[in-house]
Amino acid sequence: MKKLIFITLALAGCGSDNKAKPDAPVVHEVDAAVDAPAGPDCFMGTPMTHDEIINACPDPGVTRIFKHPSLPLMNPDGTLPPLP
Amino acid sequence: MTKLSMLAAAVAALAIPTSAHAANPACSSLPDPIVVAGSSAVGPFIASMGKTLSGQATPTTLIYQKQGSCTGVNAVVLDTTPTGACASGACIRGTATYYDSTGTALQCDLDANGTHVDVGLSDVWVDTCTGQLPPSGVKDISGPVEAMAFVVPKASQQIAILAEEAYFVFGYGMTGQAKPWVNEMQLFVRNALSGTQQIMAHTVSVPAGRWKGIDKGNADGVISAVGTSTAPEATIGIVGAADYDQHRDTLTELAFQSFHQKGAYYPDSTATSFDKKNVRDGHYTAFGYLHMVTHVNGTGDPATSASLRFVDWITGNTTRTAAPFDITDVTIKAHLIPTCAMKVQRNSEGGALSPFHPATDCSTHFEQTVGQ
Repeated sequence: MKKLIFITLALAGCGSDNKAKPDAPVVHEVDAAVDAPAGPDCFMGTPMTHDEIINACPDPGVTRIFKHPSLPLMNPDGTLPPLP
Repeated sequence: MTKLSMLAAAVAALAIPTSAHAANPACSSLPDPIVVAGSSAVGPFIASMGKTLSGQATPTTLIYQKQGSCTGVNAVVLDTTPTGACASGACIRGTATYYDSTGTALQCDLDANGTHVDVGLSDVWVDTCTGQLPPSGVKDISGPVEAMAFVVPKASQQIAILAEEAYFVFGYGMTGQAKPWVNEMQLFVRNALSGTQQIMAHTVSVPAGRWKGIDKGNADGVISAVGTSTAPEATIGIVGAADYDQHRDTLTELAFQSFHQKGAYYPDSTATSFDKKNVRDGHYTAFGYLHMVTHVNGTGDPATSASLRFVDWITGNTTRTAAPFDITDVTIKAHLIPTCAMKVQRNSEGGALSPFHPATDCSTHFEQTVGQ
């Protein structure tokens, strides 16, 4: 399966107080193709919980990379199998 | 001397403990010695402090032995007789490093019967090493933040790793089929006594004692092995981000995507910056704190003058102990992160992040100092 890594210099449009800037994300195709993230994919607003913090919309200029590796041993439901 | 031979010589010099050498002075004979041991990831930080302290009109000498975080923890926790003969598992032996006023690293000989450690230096909490909270009379005091990183050779084409990938790479090895890192001879790791490995272990859910790969002993060993690999695409290692920052010419740091995260991030805002922005705001989760483990008195303060001064210097308690440096600047220049520049915190190894609001925010000063 081919895979893709996108590198995005984050746009400001995620933040609730910010407006999207016209800059296009910088996309690097590293190892073939998959898909770009669709729709809002970061937390807008003031993050309070762990998941909100790690998924908060990054500031402008921050590099964000989307990678979809092939992991044959991953469970079908996306969970990890126990260690051998 | 070539860069490679210089690196080899440096690694050889850092192989510890070594037997006493006749040309070395006794560590105990050096001016006002303070003995610290443990984490190798904080080496640049200790070197910077040691240089300044030895250059004072009334010099102090930092005596430093780096064998891994948990070795430093154990040297103090097992030291049940801190003013007497060394108990089993306590103290350090062989040679240690100290720094002169030019910053040159020199070697001194520890006591043949063992030298008590004033402060154990650890990248992880005491219970991560021992499975238990510190015993009575021993305290774990948190200091600045240290990020850890997955690194690959400069010639590698890899730029990111997911927590799930790391789980298969280091938890399964070859059978994990997480390409291109499927050759266990090219996985350069540490061991369960290493704070770097413990932090990464908690970050990717592979217990530190079960990592596949080659134990390179200390950070210098990993840096050398990864940086000189002849199979760059298959090679990966783990080091402190502070160490990586000093070896960007031979290593590439991977962006990391944590479990439940959407997208991978570098510790810094970009691959070429030094601002540790993503550590400070929680987008990069592979980090811990420098822990100072020391004996305390009945009021909970470090028990000896040496340990009290060292802890006060690092925690910035200049009201009690005058400092010959600005510890915030020392911390930043050593590529660590003062807590005053953090926006998030955690209270256990690899634990959940929560918002953090320092009493005095030094984020702007941090960013100006690192040149961002």
